[in-house]
Amino acid sequence: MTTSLQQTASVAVEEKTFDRSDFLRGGGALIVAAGLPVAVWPSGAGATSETPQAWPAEVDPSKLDSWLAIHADGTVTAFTGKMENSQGNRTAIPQIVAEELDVPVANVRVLMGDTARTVDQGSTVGSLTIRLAGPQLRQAAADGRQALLALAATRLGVPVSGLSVKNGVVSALSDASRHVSYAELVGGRLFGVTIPVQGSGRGFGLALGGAQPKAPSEYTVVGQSVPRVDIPGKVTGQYFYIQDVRVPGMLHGRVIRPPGLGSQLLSYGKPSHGARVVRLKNFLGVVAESEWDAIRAARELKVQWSNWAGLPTMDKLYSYILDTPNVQDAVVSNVGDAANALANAPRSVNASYTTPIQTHGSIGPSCAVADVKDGAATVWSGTQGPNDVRSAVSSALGFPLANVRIFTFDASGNYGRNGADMATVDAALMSQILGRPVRVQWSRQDEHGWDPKGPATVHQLQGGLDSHGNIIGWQHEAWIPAFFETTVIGSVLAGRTARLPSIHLWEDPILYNIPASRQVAHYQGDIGSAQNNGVGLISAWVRSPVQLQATFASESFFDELAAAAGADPVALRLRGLTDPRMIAVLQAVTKASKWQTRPSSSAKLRATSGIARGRGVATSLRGGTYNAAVADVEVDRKTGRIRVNHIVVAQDNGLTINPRAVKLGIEAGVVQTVSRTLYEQVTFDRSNVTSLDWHAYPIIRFKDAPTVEVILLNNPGLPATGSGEPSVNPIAPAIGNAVFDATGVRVRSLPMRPSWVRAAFAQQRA
Amino acid sequence: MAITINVNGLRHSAKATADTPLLYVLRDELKLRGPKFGCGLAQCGACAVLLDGQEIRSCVTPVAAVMGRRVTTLEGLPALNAGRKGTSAAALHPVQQAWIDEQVPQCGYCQNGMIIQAVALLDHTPHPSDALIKTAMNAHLCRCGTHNAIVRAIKRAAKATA
Repeated sequence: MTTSLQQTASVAVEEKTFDRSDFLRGGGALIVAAGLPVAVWPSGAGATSETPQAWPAEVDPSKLDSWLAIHADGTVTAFTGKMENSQGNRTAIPQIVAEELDVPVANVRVLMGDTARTVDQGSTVGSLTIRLAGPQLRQAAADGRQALLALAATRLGVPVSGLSVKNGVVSALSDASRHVSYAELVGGRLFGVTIPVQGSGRGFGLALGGAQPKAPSEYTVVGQSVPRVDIPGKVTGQYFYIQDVRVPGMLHGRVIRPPGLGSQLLSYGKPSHGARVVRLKNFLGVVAESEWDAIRAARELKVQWSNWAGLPTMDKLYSYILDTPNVQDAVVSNVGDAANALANAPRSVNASYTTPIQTHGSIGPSCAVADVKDGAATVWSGTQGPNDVRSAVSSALGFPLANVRIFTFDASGNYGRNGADMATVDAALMSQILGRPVRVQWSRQDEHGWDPKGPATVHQLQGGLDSHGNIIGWQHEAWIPAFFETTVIGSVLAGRTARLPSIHLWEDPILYNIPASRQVAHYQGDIGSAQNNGVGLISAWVRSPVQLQATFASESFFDELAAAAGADPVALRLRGLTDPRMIAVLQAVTKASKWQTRPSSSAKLRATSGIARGRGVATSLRGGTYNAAVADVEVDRKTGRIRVNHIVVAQDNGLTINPRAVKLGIEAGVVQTVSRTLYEQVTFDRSNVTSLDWHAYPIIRFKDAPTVEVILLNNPGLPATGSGEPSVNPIAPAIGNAVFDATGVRVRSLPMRPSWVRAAFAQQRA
Repeated sequence: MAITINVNGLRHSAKATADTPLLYVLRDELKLRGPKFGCGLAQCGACAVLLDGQEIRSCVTPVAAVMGRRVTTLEGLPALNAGRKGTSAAALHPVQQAWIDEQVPQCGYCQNGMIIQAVALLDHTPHPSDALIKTAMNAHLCRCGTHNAIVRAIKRAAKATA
């Protein structure tokens, strides 16, 4: 690298409102609080007078200053590599930090996802932020408090044991007139304190040590429903999203993708509207000074691509998966001799379940801005994993990691790895080619077509019952065509393939005490990847990857066994459950829903015409969070239309940081999952995805959204586990079980569209 | 010839061509962040603004089509309310306040369109039933699943303005 990035562009959004360069000056001795209203404070920052040489290759987790800054006005910034991701981290993390530091929660802000300033705590995925990063930040804050007390002890001439802290002011217990504030102790300066650390944040294994954090019984801020700090800005138009980032001298870029996954660029014409073409091998786009010119030029550019048709036909998707060689087979769990138990069971039941490819469906298509010059890249991204995308940008540009800095801004809800990382690499490539800052905004068609997809899955289950209706054998095999990495499409097209970690592990346990059981996972490459040098229908995480699908199969199949045994679905579950926390959530939903004990499906209660009504139950355990749900549905026997009227869901996630935010998050997630259960399916032809807008990929609307009752079981003495993903898992099987209860028809395939249900009725009558 | 438009009570001479969708003039020239790009197809509603009090999709409305008419964005709702009710322009529109009180947003990206549509609904029907709310909001998409919270917020706003 030759020259510095001293002229690195500042982010033009609201430059006059606040001075980011002051705020950002974290590498030096001074950190100045910008005094922004929290609601408009963006995740990252933008302007920097630092040179790339000052960007650390890695932010050192053993320095207290990597986690906390006390500003001259007494306010606090907590630094985290985690993102907001829609569900309240920007509020919950300050609660955790304020609790340990004994400062007002309103005085704590969080700076998220700046690869040169925030510790890599792993991507914001898997409902792991509060569960794993929460304890890291709690410990850092406890260590900060200890460091501040040590300074205060010296300043006041009183031993630490003789001090107390309230609202960021340390006082002598013996003489309240002797006091000193945090701001007076270190305001605007660095701590210079080292804290003990173990493990790696990248691998989600970072552990901090040092001071003893508070006992949960002492909490006054954690556990309170503090209003979310992001919401005022989100309802007034003041909030910054990645789509709002503007950089001086910036061009508007649009990508132009091939029609087939493996199509080669043959030729292209002259761009319209004064736009320029940007091309590197099969990577193609246009840039223009105005956004509308870029949009029109992208639409109008005449491009010839070669044909490519290496995908299976959609109607053969599931048999294609079963016929495809597995990359890896894994025994997920194995208890007793399941094969023998099943072979000798007096009664056995077999069933296959399938789930479709689904997309993230972010309302705001992905967007990123990059400024690549002088051998360094400054990148603004809406990623959920700043350090992951930093690696991808580094590979795609051929730069050392240290020469790439990612600033993050909140994006439209991603619910997994949507197009954000892909658009980030697109912007970086375009800026590198042009030597100017470029903003890439994906179109709706780009997002629906090219965001990586949640993979389709196939499940085969076998269950055995003894003569008393007890489950004595269980086998569940799952085929999952997604394997450990997400391919970054722009980099592939440019001939500089970069991949992101995206492990699709099936790891949810069997919840019931069954003497012989076995779970086997078959992992495969992306659909069609064998026909196109490893690049098929690119897969990535979508909310609760693998488990949403596996729990649909297993909890539906459990109901099949209950029906075969003539048992009430709740009663049979309670017979098999041993974990008191799981029993408690199941009992909570049965009580709240006034569950009537009886076997499903009662022929006497079934409507044979008109509207059939039923209810279903399901449970799940993910990452230490316990859930149960009861769904009430109506099925129109004529049209096959399923309507979900009401869902009761219970959750035990141990300690809850912010109960109201968690409950609202669960309510929303349940509605989203009803959408995935009833409506959502990516369609494709032999060449590529064909569901390219909201007509082709419908999601739930107001008229179809069920009401939701959320029961949060308070368990503050236990560690906090996740909340975003776990509660989505029992929803699809609860609905399927309710449809069976109403109609006697078992839905074994998602989405539960009317045409499928009508066909099932026809089969039932035959 | 420059196209002059009236946005949130202020006149603006657009540099854009007449066929440019209003959304890009609002976002790129006026630097407004309330209206969002969602689909460019009038399918999702993230770009919604009020045009003479009616909800429109700014992503498919050419800027020339709003000449001589009043455009109100999310940012202009407090002033719109103040003008009508004689309240302080610093106070939020009751619909925005209800959105905060009900803690509606998750990611928040669609909420611009939801709030704009709710304002248009309540202007027309001050006390809508749940069914009418759902009908009125049905052409707006939310991925996060905040539909129930939105219905609660609209009912709260209706009460507040009663």
